[in-house]
Amino acid sequence: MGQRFAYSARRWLYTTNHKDIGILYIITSLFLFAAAGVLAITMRTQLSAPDNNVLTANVYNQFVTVHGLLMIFWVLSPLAFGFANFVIPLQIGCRDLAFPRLNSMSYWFFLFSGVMMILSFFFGAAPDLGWTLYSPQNTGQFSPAIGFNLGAGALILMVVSITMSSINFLVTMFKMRAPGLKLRYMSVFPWAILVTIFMMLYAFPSFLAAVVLLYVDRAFGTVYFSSIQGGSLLWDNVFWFFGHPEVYIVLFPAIGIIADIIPTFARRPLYGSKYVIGSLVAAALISFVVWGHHMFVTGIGIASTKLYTVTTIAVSLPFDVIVISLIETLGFAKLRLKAPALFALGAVANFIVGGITGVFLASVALDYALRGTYFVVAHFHYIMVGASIIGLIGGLYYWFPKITGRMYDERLAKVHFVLSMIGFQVLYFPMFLLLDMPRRIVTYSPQTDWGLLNLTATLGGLIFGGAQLLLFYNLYRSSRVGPPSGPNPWDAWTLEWALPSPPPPHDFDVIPTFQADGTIRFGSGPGLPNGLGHSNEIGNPNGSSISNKTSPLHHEGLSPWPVLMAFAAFIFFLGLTIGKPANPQPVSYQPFWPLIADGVILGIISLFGYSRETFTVHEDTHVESWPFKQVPNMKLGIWTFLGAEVIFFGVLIGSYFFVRTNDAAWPPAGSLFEIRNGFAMTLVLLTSSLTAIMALASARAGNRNGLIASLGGTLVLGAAFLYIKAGEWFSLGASGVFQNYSLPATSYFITTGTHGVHVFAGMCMTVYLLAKAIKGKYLHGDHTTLEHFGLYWHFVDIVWVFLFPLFYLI
Amino acid sequence: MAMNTNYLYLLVFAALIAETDIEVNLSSIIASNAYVSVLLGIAATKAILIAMFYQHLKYEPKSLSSWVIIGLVIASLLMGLSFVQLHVGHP
Repeated sequence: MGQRFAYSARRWLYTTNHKDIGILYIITSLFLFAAAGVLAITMRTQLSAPDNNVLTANVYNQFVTVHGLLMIFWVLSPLAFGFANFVIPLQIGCRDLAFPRLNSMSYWFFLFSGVMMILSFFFGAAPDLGWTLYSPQNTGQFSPAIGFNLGAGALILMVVSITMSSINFLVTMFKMRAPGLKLRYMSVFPWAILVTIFMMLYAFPSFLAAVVLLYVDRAFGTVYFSSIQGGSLLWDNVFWFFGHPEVYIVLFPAIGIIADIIPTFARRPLYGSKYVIGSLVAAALISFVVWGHHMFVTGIGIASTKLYTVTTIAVSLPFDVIVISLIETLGFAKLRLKAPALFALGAVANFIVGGITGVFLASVALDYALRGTYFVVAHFHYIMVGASIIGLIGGLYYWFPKITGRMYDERLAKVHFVLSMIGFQVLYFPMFLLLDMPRRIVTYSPQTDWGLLNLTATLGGLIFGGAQLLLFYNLYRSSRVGPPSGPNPWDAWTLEWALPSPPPPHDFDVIPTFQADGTIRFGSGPGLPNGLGHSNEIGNPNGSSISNKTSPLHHEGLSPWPVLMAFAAFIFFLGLTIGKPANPQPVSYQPFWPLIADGVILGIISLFGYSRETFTVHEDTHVESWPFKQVPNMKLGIWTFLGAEVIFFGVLIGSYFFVRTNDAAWPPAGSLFEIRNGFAMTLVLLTSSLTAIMALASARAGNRNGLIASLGGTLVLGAAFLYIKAGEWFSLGASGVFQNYSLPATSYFITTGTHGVHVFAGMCMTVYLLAKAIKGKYLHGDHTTLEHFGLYWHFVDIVWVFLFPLFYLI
Repeated sequence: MAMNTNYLYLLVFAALIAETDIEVNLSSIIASNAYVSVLLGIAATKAILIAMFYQHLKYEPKSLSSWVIIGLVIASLLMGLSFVQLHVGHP
């Protein structure tokens, strides 16, 4: 028994297998779904009658906020990416993601970030101002609780997890598709995930930058979000630049699932599948220019409101195409009304209502009237719950047989569907009628006519919440005693259904080939239709050469380091955020140094172990990898990471510009920060870029001494840069610039500080590379690590190239 | 070949230093209105030089360069439209 437990614990803690990690994501997000749901039902109970006092205003606000944050960041996306983890490699015909250990680390960062968010309740108070965390209420002056800092730390960890995951999926989907699987042949679910990842990659760094700026404001007393020149308008911009794409980030995977389910159960190919994919891409691109419609009442200029009205209406058009395609697919279809199909259809119906009411809000006039009311709450819950959650539950039933190898209880699932849909409508439709009731209020007067509608909504909430207990029961029981499902219970067309249920650890004995005639072949076995409408016959999934034989590829697929690294980061951020207030006005906090030290030590040990571990990831050469055929996986991963860094620093620099152009009293160049310091640091960093590239040139030429000298030079120059920077900081500190920060000091402190952290990280990498070079590495054609380091180091140099004129010369 | 490459790296380095020198002395040459734009223009050319020759983007497939440019375009959108909000169309 003990041995079995130890084996099981080791497997689940150390696994790097995409299917295991997918299951971990799904189970964790379902638990957090239950937790966030309990918060919601408690809130609805409070609102069920006027002048109710089930919750105090303070606790109610915390519940509202954490409910929203958990549902959006720790339930919707992770559940979708649980499916993506399990299904995408199977659908595109590869054996795992490009970076399995990074995938494991993403999950553990996600888990610990969720733990940290829940812990925030136990440190004074959790964040309590709504999931949008608007400024200036988010500053230490108005939200002094330490729990808020924990919430900020949790969000940072969560974004780190998402960034790792995005890079991993992008590289996998671009570079590791089975031979013949051109991008245009992929079904809608992989496309939806690909487009979602694209949005995540470029939207989340903005959120990360916003939270970092907020955290520094709170921890060190800087004034980005408490100043008039920055304040609420700056927060609105950096938050909603991320926030609107985020709506599609949580919606698109559900659309992808629905677009896989409906053709399967309608027995017809998706109508206009190419237009659906095109619409997803179009909506993703437009989503980056619509964020201002969340700011119509903030006083942005008329030109801006016009622009955002047009873009917001424009972004609704691709969704029209998607809905029409889904409905057309149903035309003359002999629909099999199994639970996945029911949930998919329910999600489409809810999405139509949620989508149309969203277009109302694109109108400036209507937005002025409806903003901040329960009409908006109803609108986005029709999208978030009605379309996303209901669609994802459809996916849960759809892939349950594939994941567990067993069938769920169909009758119970149908009861679950009926109760969910009734509960959902009773819960949210009355909110459309509460269009004069402000959201986020803890109670209301009996003189209003809101009581009956609120009571109805609460009853709906209880029905909807209760229905989910059936889901949990069904999944738990069926995973143990459900009848065997066989490989393809739905007669579905996509590739995962050609594998046994559950699939073997290595997925494929033979990597399949997608044929031009629309079939999929395994070695010399017969072809299977690929579900894109080239053939209406259902293939024989047992016709492949797949077996349960375990491949040697995944025997060694366990690694302890990802979970340890994530735990180290958790400890570090806990130390950073649970410190007691050090200064009442302006508020600042004293970090808890022992925990920070523990986190750093554990992080170094984990990094060391991670780098020394032999973990082979096979890069197949005969795969479909357009448009990055000649770019190695790791290099594409690094460049993708740098793309996210561009947004991150872009937001930091943009924030600087924002307050700078908004502040007439900015000190002239050279009066606060000495030009000669900036000039010296620029020379030093540019020279370090030269030494870094010379290190690569030396390695290529097999010149050991040149390599060691160049890397040593890079390290010394990096240290010199930080030495000059530290001297400047001490000098400014001594002159009182950092007490009661001004905006110039705030922007300088945060922007150059963040850049300095990047320089320090680069120096740590240089120490590692130098140690390896001294042992004779990198001289025999194995210099790719040096090349990848160079990409990062030169990027850090490029950032400084812009910071120098911005802070020292303008 | 190695000598040629090293020579190119040194040439780029010289250009970067020269441009930095121009930046520092620019205020005495250019009138104030164009000053910021010219400074940022010089910074952009330095960044392009580093990306093209030190990060070898010049020798990479066009798809990779385009991938990098997407990030720049999105960051520019954020900055550009925020600027429009602040300074354009107010009564």
